[in-house]
Formats: sequence, structure tokens, C-alpha cells
Amino acid sequence: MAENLKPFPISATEESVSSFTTVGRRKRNWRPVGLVLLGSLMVTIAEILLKIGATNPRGIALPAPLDFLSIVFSFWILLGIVAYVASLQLWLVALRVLPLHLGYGLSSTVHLLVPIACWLFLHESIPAGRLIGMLFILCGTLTLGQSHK
Amino acid sequence: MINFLNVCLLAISQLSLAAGQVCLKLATDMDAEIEGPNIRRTSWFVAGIASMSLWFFVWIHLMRVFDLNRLFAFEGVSPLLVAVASALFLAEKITAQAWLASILLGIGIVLVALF
Repeated sequence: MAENLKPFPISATEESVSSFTTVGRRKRNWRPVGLVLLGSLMVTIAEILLKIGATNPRGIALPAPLDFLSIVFSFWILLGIVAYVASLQLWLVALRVLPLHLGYGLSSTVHLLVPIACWLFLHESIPAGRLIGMLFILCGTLTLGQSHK
Repeated sequence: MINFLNVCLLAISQLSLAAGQVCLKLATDMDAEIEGPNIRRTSWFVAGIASMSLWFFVWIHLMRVFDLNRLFAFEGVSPLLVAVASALFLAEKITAQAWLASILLGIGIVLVALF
């Protein structure tokens, strides 16, 4: 019994160590991470469109209890919703593979992309404090990416 | 404008966002196990989408009240909120490095919004 078992654990350990390293490397799959980052870009586009839509006067006004829904009839808002739906689709595909805390943390790159987009398209300035915050988000994203197995 | 109602709406938006994410994760986790339609998975999807819809309309309303960049300050809590929710309800193992990252992201989001 002991003789039979003896060679087995040794080879198993060697096998499991080698397979762990190769599988570990192969399993560090960056595709879902890429999908989350692409989703962040879609959300950024959506936020800009929604901001333009929310500040523009609406074409159709619904009566009192439903008046909050009349915002939906704006062209920009509709485009923004399309961008949001696209990002949600990307998110659901990525979520199958990634743990929620990891995927959600990575989607915080939105807060890095939104100030850049606001600066580019809405002509908002980026003061030093916000730039420091953006660096924090970059560090947080890289730290979280490092913890990705 | 910060008043009691808007603070409540901000809290509702963040909690419904975290709850929606947990529901969607529970639903997509079942994708790998179950082929075809399934009532439990559909229920999690519906709950997730309902929760996210609540967040969406509250968020749209708050956008009219706050500037876009100010509004985002309150999303600083969300990486931590979602990390806590995934530890509590999804039993995800969150490494010290991932907690640190969530805190960095939270500080970053608040700084980005406040300045």
C-alpha cells in the first residue's frame, strides 16, 4: 500500500506544480478585462450624451405624475440609452468570468475617462486636484488588475 | 443643492446600483450551469434590471440637480459598497490588494468629483 502510494504523491506534486503554473498563466485571461474597459468607454459616451440631453429642453412633455419620463423623448437621451445598453451587454459577458468586486472596480475607469471626455467635448477644465484623483484611479485600476488571477 | 431629499435619493441610487450588480452576477453565474430558460435565473435578471432602472431614473433626476462632475463624488463609495456586497452575498474572496485598490478607487472618484 505504502509502496504503491509513494511514487504517486511525488509525481502528482510535480505535475500539479507544473500544471498550476501553466494553467495559472493561461487562466489569467485578459479578454474579460478588455470587455470591461470597452464598457467603460461606452458608459463615458453615454454620460456625455445624457448630459447634453438633460440640459437641452425637451420636445414632448408628459402630464404631472409621468413628467419625469418625458426626458426619454430627447434624441441625445435615446442615443445615450443605446450606448448604455451596449455597455450593459459587454458587462454581462465579462461578469460571467470575472468576480463582481474585480469587474466593478475595473469599471471605475469611467471616472478617469469622464473628466477627459468632459474636457474634450464639454470644455470643462481639469484642475490639479482632479488630476491627482485621476492618478488615484489609475493606481487603483492597476492594483486591481494585478490581483486578477 | 444638498438637502435631505437629495441625500436620500443619492443613498437610494448607490444602494440600488450595488443590489442590481449582485443580482446580475447571481444571474450570469447560472449561465454556465443551466441551459435554456430558467425561472430562478430570469428572476435574478429581472430583479437586477429593475434595480438598475431605479438607479437610472434617480440618476437622471439628480443630474438635473447637480453638475455631472459634482454628482460623481457620491459614487466614491460604490467600489467599496460593491466589494462589501460581493463579500457578503456572493462569498467572493477579496484579497488585501483588492481592498486597497477599492479604497484607492474610492478616494480617486471623490477627488475627481470635488475638484
